[in-house]
Amino acid sequence: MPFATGFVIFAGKALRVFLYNMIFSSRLIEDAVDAFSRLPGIGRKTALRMVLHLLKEDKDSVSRFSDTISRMRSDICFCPQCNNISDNGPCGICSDPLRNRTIVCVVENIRDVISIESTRQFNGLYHVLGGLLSPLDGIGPDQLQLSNLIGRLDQGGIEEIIMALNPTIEGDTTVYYISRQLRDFPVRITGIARGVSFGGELEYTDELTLARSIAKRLPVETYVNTENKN
Amino acid sequence: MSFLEKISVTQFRNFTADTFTFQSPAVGITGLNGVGKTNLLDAIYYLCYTKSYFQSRELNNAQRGTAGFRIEGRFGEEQIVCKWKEGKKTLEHDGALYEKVTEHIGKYTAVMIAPDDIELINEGSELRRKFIDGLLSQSDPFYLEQLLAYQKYLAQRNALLRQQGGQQQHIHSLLDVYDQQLAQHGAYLVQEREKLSAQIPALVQQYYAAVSGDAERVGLQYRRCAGPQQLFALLQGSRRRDIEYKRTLTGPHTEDWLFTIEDCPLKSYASQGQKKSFLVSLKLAHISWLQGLGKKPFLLLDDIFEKLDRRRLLHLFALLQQCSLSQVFMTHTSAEDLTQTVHPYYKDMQLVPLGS
Repeated sequence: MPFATGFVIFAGKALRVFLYNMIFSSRLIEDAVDAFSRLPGIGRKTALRMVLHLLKEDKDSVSRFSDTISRMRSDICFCPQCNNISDNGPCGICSDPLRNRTIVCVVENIRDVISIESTRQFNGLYHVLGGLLSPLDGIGPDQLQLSNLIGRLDQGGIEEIIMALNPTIEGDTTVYYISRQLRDFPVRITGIARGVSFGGELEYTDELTLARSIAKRLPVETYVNTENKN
Repeated sequence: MSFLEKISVTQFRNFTADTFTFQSPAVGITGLNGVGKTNLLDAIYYLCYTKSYFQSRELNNAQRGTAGFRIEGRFGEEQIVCKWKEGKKTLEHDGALYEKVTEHIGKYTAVMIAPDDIELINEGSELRRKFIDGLLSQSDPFYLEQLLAYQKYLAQRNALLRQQGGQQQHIHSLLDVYDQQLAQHGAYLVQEREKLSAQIPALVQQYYAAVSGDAERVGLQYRRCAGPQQLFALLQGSRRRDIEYKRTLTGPHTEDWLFTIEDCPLKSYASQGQKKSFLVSLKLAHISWLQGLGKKPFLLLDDIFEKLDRRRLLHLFALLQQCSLSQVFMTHTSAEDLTQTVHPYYKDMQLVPLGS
C-alpha cells in the first residue's frame, strides 16, 4: 500500500480509493504497473506513465530495455577481494595496476566507493563491508564482510587501513571493533577527519559538530600541507 | 521578554478551541474539578518543552476522537506554535519552522509543582534519574549529548545480549567495544551527577527549612554505580551475569538517589506533609538552578492549595517573592480562597475562571 500514502496527504481519502481501484482494461498493463510501482520513488501514476510510454515504443527496443535490466541483475558479480560490484572476477579498481596496493579504504557500501572515487583524491584500494554493526537491526560481525578483509591483511603488503565510515554510533562501533580485530597486524589504522565541512560557515554548523571541531582542533600546518600523500 | 501574553489551545485534552490572554505576572486559574485547569497549565509546559508534563503518549494529549492538537503561545513579540498531527510534531517560531526541536528547548523554561510529583519519592529510580538528568541537560548541552549517546550504545548492547547466538568469541569482542564506549560516555554522566549531588542537598535543605519551618535534616544521597574511571571494570565484571539475564544490569542507567529525612529513607519514614514539603523544596531548588543559568522560569502550581497547609503556603509564597520568575500560574477550585491567600503577595493577580 505504500504507493498510495503519498497522495493521501494531498487529496485525502477519495484519491486513495481511486488509486486502489484504478481500472485497467488489460491484466498485462496492470501487472506492468504493479512491477514499476515497486521501485523506490515510483507511484502508481508514474508507473502507468512509464508503461504507456513503453507501449508506444517498438517491440525490439523494449526487449533491449528489459534485457539490459535482467542482464545487469543476473550477470553482476561482486569482487572476491573487496566486495565492490564488478562485471566478472576482480573489480575495475582491484585489477587496475596503477592503484596503490598498500592502502585500503574501508567503507560501508558501494555508494561510498562511488562517492570517494568521484573525489579523484584516493588512489588506493577499497573494502566494502556491506553494512555497519547494529545488533538492533540484526547486524552482527557475521553479517559483515570481515573475514576477507583479514584474509587480505594475511597476504601482506597492506600498510594502512583508512576507516571511512559514517560518524554515527554504529559507524564508531564498527571502527573500534575492526581496529580491535586488526590489532595484531603491523598496519596503521586511520579514520577520516570529521568536523566543520569545507566551504561551510561556522554560523550554520550544528553545535555538536562545532564543539567537536574545537575539542579536536588541528595544528594550522595541516591546513597548508594539502598535497595528496597516497 | 518571556511573559506569556496569550495562549490558544485547539483539540488539546478537553479544550476544543479556546484562547486565554494574560496580563499579570500572577494568574489564578479557577473552576470546578474536571474543567481543565491542569490541562491549561500543561499546555504552557508543553510550549516550553514541547512535551507534556503528565502524558508521554501524544495521542492521549489530543481531544478524544481527534488525531491532532495545536498550542499557540505569544511570548511578548514572539509567537510559538506547537502542532501534533498524524504522529508528527512540528514547531514554529514566528511562522518559521524550527529545523530541530533542540533549538527551542531552553528558550522558555517552566517548573511544574503537581500532586503527581509524589511519585518522585514513592516510585522507581527512573523518575529520579529523569529529574536529575533534566537539571543537568538544561545547564550543559554536552551532558545531554553524552546521555543520548550512552542510551544509544546501551540499546545496541542490550540488543546484542538478547540475540547472543552466533559465535561466542564475536560476542565478547563486540561487547568489549560497547563496554568501552559506555564507560567513556558514562564517565562524564557520573562525574557531573556527582558534582550536582554535592550542590543540591544544601539548597533543598535550605528551602525545606523555609517552607516547613521545621528543623529536620533532609538530604539527597547519590547512589552511584562506580567511580567515573571504574565503569569499564564494572561492566566487564558484570559480563557473565549480563549474558545470563540478557541485558545490561549495571551502569549509570541504574543509578539512584536516596531522599532522606534525619538520615532515614524519606519514602518509608516521612509523613505525607513532610513528603510534600520535601517535593516543594526540590522544585524550588530546580528554580534556583535555572536562575543560576540566567533563566526566568514560569512556575506552574497545580493544586498547591489542597496540598500544603496554610502556614506552609504562606512560607512558599514569601519564598517565591525572592525568586526571579517570568510568571506564576496556579490552579484552585475556589476563586475567593485563592484571592484571599495570594493577595498579600500578588496584589494584581489575574483570575481566569474556567467552565463558566
